[in-house]
Amino acid sequence: MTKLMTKGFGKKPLVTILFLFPAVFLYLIILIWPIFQSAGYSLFEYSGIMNDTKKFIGLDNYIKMFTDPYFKRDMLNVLKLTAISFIVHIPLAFGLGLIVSRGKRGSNLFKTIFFIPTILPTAAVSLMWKFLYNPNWGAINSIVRALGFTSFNLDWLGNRMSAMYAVSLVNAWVSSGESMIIFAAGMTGIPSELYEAASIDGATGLKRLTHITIPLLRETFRTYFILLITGALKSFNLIFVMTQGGPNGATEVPTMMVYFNGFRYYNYGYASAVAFFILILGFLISYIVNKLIKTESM
Amino acid sequence: MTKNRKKISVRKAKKVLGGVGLALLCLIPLYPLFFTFLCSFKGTFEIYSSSFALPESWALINYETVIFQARFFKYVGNSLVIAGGSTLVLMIVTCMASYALARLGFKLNPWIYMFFITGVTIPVHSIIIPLYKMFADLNLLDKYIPLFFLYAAAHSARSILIITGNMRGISREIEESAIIDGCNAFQIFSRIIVPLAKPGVATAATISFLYIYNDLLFPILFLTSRSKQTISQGLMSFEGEFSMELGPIFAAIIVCVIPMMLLFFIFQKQVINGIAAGSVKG
Repeated sequence: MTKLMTKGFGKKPLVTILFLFPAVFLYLIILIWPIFQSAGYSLFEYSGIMNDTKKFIGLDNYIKMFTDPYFKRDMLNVLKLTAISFIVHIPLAFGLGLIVSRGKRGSNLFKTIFFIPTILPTAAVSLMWKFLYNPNWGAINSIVRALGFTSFNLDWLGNRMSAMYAVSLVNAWVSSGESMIIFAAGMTGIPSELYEAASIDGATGLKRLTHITIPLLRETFRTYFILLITGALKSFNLIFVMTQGGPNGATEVPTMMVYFNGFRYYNYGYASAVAFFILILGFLISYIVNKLIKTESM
Repeated sequence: MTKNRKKISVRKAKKVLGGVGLALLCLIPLYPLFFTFLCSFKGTFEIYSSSFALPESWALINYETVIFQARFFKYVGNSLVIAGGSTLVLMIVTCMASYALARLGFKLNPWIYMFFITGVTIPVHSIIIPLYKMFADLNLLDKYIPLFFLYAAAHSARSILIITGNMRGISREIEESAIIDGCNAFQIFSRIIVPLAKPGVATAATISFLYIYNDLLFPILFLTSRSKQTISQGLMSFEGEFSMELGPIFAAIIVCVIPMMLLFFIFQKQVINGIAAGSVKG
């Protein structure tokens, strides 16, 4: 009887719809509708300035995009950012996760301390690091000089060669807390009996890692790969404050191309094409990584 | 005997070394902040000549510049209002939706849930052009209330994910006895389900508040007049204007960072859980 009554609300779809309506409505008009608009604008030549007329040009914006050397440069920059992230973030995240998941004394404090960079305002963090990288009095170069590596006494953010690396390191610094938590969660999920059995069989530290920890973290790695790639594709704020995409476009990523084309050069149509491309690429990559790692596990 | 003792002392030494290693690792997240903190008490010349050393005096003059001359409290206030207002709207809207998704057996629920969850992956930058256009056309630029709803929509996916998970765990019996007592769906929602889902609501609210306070993109796009801008915008324009005077900029960074540090130390568990929940599904 009572069960029937609980289900009773469900049988009144009106109640459900009432509760769902505000969230669905906001979501639809603020996040979903603009995706379609973005796709639509991308087919027009359109400045976005009031009263300006749209001119339908089909796929010309996309053709322009694929032949645009700036777009190519920005995509290569994102690729570079992703590659550096893979090399720097994964060992860092794995190591930190390992430390935290052991649950030894002090590991909670350790977790808290490594989480601090993640919760700070991007503008503040970026500005802080811009100063740390200052070639004359910044902390980085002071350390470099003190250690005697005078040939590395660079203008880290102002040099085309080093700027992307410098930015990526800050990115790693900011996200280390989040990465640590993702790996720690995966690691604490591994049953301790497996490790016990392994140690009876005489497996030592490294073997335990390669035979138990890493294979069982497949799910975590998958999530983290997707997060790294889509994160690089989405990156904007940090780089925007630190370098504005400079020097000479060395750190400019496609999201900045959207911003500059849309709000500085008043080229809504072209900006929308790039924006829509980023969106689709992000979905596509998530899908592919998901598929790749899933089939392997079967 | 002695062998055993040796073993123990080796183990002890290893432990101490490990501890020292961990402490040194902690310098990575902490040192940049410490450097900034020290520089915030220095004059520009002192920063140029000895950025590393302790400040010559712990004078608060840089902080006076930031607070009285640049009115940074105003910016902090603006950011708190925006983050607070947006989080409130977000919580009302997403608690309602989560209740429907978690507790009401509606045929389309799994689809609607999936629909929200995929939203975590939408990069905001790919929709800023039409969003800006929409806001400009409807004359909603430079106003707080529309911004609340914008943030509520942008953060709803993560929030629904967390709160729905929490609400699903509430036992049916409490709800059933409330129905027998004659409560309607709205009363059950507000008096039983939301209070019982408090841990999830707190997590979602804290993490959303944090993200919104820290955001830079929406304020740059949607808030133009100086008096309405957020702390992040204030910091950026302050850097532009005071580029010759470094001390106050460092002080401004510290002022900008303090509210989030406080929030984190008070709601540590919620913050960490919230970020973990959001990224695992992302």
